[in-house]
Amino acid sequence: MRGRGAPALPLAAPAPGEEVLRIDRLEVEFGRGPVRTTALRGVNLALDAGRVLGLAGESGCGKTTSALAAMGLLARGSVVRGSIRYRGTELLALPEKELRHYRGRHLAMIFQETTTALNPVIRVGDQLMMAARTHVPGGRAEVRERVIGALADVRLTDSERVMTSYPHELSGGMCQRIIIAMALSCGSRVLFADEPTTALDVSVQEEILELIRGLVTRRQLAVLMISHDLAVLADVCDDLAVMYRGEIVESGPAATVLERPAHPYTQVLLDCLPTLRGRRESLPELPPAAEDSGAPPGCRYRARCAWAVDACLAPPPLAPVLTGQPRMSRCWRSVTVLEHTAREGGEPDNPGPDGAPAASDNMSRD
Amino acid sequence: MGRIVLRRLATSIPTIIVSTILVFVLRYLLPGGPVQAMLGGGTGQYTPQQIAAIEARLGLNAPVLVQYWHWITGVLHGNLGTSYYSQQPVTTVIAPRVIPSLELIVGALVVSTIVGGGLGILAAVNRGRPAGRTIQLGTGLGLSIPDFWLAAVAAGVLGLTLNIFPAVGFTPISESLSGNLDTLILPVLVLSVVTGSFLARHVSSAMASALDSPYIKSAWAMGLPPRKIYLNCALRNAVAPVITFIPLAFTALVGGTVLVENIYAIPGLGTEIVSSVSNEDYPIVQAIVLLVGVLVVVLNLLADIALAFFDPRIRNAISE
Repeated sequence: MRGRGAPALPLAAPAPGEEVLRIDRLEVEFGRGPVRTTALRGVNLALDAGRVLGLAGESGCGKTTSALAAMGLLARGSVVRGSIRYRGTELLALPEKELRHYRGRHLAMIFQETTTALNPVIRVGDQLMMAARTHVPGGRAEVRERVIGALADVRLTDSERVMTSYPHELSGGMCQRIIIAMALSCGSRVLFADEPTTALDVSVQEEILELIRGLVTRRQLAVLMISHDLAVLADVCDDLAVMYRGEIVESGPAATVLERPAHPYTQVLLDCLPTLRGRRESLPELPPAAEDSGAPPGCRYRARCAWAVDACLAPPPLAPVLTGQPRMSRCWRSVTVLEHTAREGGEPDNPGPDGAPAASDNMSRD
Repeated sequence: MGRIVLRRLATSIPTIIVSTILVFVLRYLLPGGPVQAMLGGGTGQYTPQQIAAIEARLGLNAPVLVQYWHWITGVLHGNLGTSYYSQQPVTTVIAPRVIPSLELIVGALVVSTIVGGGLGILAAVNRGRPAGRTIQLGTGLGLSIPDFWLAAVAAGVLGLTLNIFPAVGFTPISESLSGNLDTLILPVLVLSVVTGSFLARHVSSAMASALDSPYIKSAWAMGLPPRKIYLNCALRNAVAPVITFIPLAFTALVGGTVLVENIYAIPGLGTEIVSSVSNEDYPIVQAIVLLVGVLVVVLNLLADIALAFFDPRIRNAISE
């Protein structure tokens, strides 16, 4: 079904569980000259067909930047290093002209905006057709069939009405479905969903999440779900990665990470949720972020961390919390944190009078 | 769409009526009086009886409302009165002068829309790059050059020194098309510099804000080719500001033609209105002002209809 000027690619649908996208040691810098901002400092992520990976963290931590980098949509002048491989093709090595064929056809990204994500002066049908005809060969009628099929996939069965409508005549939830349908009709295998439900009502939010979950299973989509809202991520994700200031600080199966965080930052994010652990009367406040002057040595979270000890002056690696388990944490004291959260405590009992880490901390590995 | 046209048409009628009243009142606001203008010089050598007789003949002794009624019914029948100066019907005086002015205005509108619009698109697409900066600099220069200076310098340099175009003068289209175009090029270019620069700025900011919008971000994310993103997506959203701009540009160009026609000695409405004002030939002044006023209202009407045609949201807002 695909064709037209694209480089050779594995065209068959990926097998369930196949790793379709792999991001390795991704570094991104913005700005030019001496004023540079480091947005990502070596991020690793892997997306598998039929699975949803959640990406959590406060705003500015690099969640969206990671996805935009994979799409090749970062602002001009950004420096990107590392590797982003889509089913064997190194995307970072591709010139923009070729990368363009991957957008829509293989990788798609949807955003927080819903009604404004569609062009206000063009009929929805024309927009869907414009995108699909860019990527799908065949006659107008054939492509139209495909678009109608994609609309049905997102449970918009009244395709005639939808396609002749303008975006302002439709609801936010419908528009988000239409964008998803657009990605499907183009043939996307990977979906970066950047806060796709943040602008929607709670009930509609639920519908969209359910829809995405369904598509993941039925179409073997690989989804990166970006959200600041752990409750949303808890709903749909198989795996979860938590980012802090351009680094992944914890990753692993979503249920385990949310149940028993092994990084103090994940712990604090969870405590900020009003409902999930509904025992707090007032939400805790994160201590303000420290100024990032120069290159501060050690753990980036140190200044805000209730668990910080002297050892944190050395940068911790992202390492398995317990050997043989998929959980990773970027914390010298992850085992202690884990043991503590297992006992359902929020604050460290006793960080040690002299700040010395306990013997069980994983810094002993080094 | 039909209902929108009717509705807009209905709202333009009061505007036109008000503008005819303003045009009519103009005669009473100008210094001197019609009789004085007709008799030329002073009224000193005429007896009050003679002046009263002339006023009676012109209907000037009737109440103002009656005078307005006579005038407006005449206008509706195509009778714009008689020139005080040449004693010819106003339509006979004005008709041959409409074409050169329209040629100038339409020519300048076309040139500035195509060139200015194109530059505006290029400036927005190349934002932050040398090409975009150069265009912004150029249009900034175009906006700040006074048109009277530019007209004189263009006539001097391109016309006299380099002798590429005729420096001044005008060949009517009825005589020779190529001669007509030859004499039009310089004045049209002069008029287009300011209007085109203005339009380029306008288009580039409209286009830039369209390019920054979420739907363009989505279009990139769907892998649409840049050509489609710029021309099929963003440009459609930048059309509305261009449409609203055209009646404004027309008004500005009317002012521009007065100047340019006088510098290049083109026998259009601009030269006519200047001589009529100095001759205190009110019927001519009135007719020209009325003509321009009606044209502005009509252009605005057309712009509104075009806007509704291009933007479904406006269409909805009007028909609800």
